[in-house]
Amino acid sequence: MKRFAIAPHLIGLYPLGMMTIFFLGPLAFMVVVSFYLRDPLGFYKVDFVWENYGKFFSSFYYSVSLRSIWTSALASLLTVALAFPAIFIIVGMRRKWQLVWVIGLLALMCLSEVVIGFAWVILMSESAGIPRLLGWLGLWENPRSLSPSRLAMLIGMVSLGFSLVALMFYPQLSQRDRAIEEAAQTLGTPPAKVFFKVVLPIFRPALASSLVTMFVFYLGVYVMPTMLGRPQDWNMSVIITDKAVEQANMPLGAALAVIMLVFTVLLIGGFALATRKEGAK
Amino acid sequence: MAQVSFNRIRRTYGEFTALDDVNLGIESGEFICLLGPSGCGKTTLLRILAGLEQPTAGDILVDGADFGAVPCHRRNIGMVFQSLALFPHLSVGENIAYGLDVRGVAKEQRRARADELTELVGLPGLYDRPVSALSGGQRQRVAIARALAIEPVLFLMDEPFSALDAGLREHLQIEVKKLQRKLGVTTIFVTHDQNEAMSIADRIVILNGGVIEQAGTPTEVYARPRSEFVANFVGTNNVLEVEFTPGADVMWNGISLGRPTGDMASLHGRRKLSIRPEYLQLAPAGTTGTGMVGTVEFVRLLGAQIETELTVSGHTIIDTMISDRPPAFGEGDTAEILINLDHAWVIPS
Repeated sequence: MKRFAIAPHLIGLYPLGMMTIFFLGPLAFMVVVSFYLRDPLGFYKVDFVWENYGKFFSSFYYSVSLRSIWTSALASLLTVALAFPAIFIIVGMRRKWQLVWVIGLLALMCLSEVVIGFAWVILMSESAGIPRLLGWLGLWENPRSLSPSRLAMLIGMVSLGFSLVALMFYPQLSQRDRAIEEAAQTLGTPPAKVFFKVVLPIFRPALASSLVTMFVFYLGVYVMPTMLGRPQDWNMSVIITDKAVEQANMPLGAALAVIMLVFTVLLIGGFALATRKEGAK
Repeated sequence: MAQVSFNRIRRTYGEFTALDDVNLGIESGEFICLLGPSGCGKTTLLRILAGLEQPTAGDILVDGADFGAVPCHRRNIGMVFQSLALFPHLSVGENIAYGLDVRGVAKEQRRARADELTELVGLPGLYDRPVSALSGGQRQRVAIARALAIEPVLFLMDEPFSALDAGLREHLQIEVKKLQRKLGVTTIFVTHDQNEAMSIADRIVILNGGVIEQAGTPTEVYARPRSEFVANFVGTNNVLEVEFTPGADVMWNGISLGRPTGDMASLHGRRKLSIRPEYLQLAPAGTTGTGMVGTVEFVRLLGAQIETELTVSGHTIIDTMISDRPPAFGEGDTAEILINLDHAWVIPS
């Protein structure tokens, strides 16, 4: 008779325990709180009401949600569209220069969101940054501060995710079989078209997954919108923090967070399903 | 079909000279093998012909026209890469039809041509199969079909079979040779495997250190090597440094190898003599009276042949004979080695 070995199964307890302590526990707590009643004097009262979820279905939250989705989508698209060709060019350089760029990208990634945000605030300020430079060059007659604005927020977000995407593609691009691109050339593809005819199609699945990853990442950014965006540019993360912390409405903040989480999970699930179907084809 | 001529091709990478003054003419419809050890410049020469690399100096003429200024994508060359370099996102048929797609051929015609080629390389009905679902041999065939689909002026192959097991490799060598004969396309095949080169080439070009050592038919390079390198690189060989004196025996380390006849009789001075193991004969000690006596170091059976390795005063001599009887000598035995000078070849110096 085959003996049932327990030890190999016990090892699964470790990730499960970690997940429970750091993720599932707080999540469950958040879900519970989202049904509580707000107490304007205290924090919340134990209850079971749908009122917090009901509040989501108002034009204000609708527009915040749509804005969050739109901004994240735009930022992720811009990031991937800029970072992929950039790293494609970098891996074509000599080893020494590649190293310089990779170290630079790693350094950029090491900077906190706050530091990058401040750097942009200064660069876009009227007195010390790009506007002043443009004014001095005579390219901009009446230079004014570029931040806070929607554009400033997008620039901040893209510079936050750029190094992530670039480094995500670095190993894949540097280890790719370059003979494939040469084969395309021998078969008649002009060098300038090889990138679009062969490289992009081959990396299509990887590009799609990086788009989804960056989209989810940008849904959760908090510092860039608050530092570089105007209140009308704020995304859901900022609104949740505003409700939960500033206005001490924990149950509403929790409910909004749960809705956002459900949306994100559906999105990732949908993507996984789509790629699975594509793979089976 | 096309004629190729390389004129004084030189390629350097910084201090390193990959190719040095390479001159080579290739006839229309010929099957050429570029043979040599790794780093000899054979792949560089192929890549220069394909336009994937530029020569430092020299020019290439194809059918008399300068090829140097033509960019790679306009050369109309069918190339099979060592890694095969199939397009992973395309199906078998789409891979084969890629070159036609780039040339703007209509969809139905592409499909018809791809079907024709899958048939030709022995992969009928696999048009829609993703390339990831193919075996190693099938992938080879797709790569060959893709290169031939564009009706190339030249068909180039860069060590295409090096990743395959011996049986499949031999099978594909024969198929490629037959295919090439059928289509008559001028073919240049790079390999480091001399057996492969011997079995498929019309003419073998042996490169070493960026220089052509010899270009000739398989028989020529085997029987009449132009240099010591070729003598040793192609097949198993015994290269002996001997002393010729007109009217006297050929001497090797104080041992007489017999009296030379014909052209060899008029030679004098130190020369390198190449003598293939199959032209040596072994006899039990003390039976022939020859001065060349060796000690058997190693005996191995190679199917049709028995190979015997002997040492004669510190030099290694290899003998092979047909294995129609069990080996007559064992390790440690002493044997007399008989050399037939009629089958020996004096390497030009």
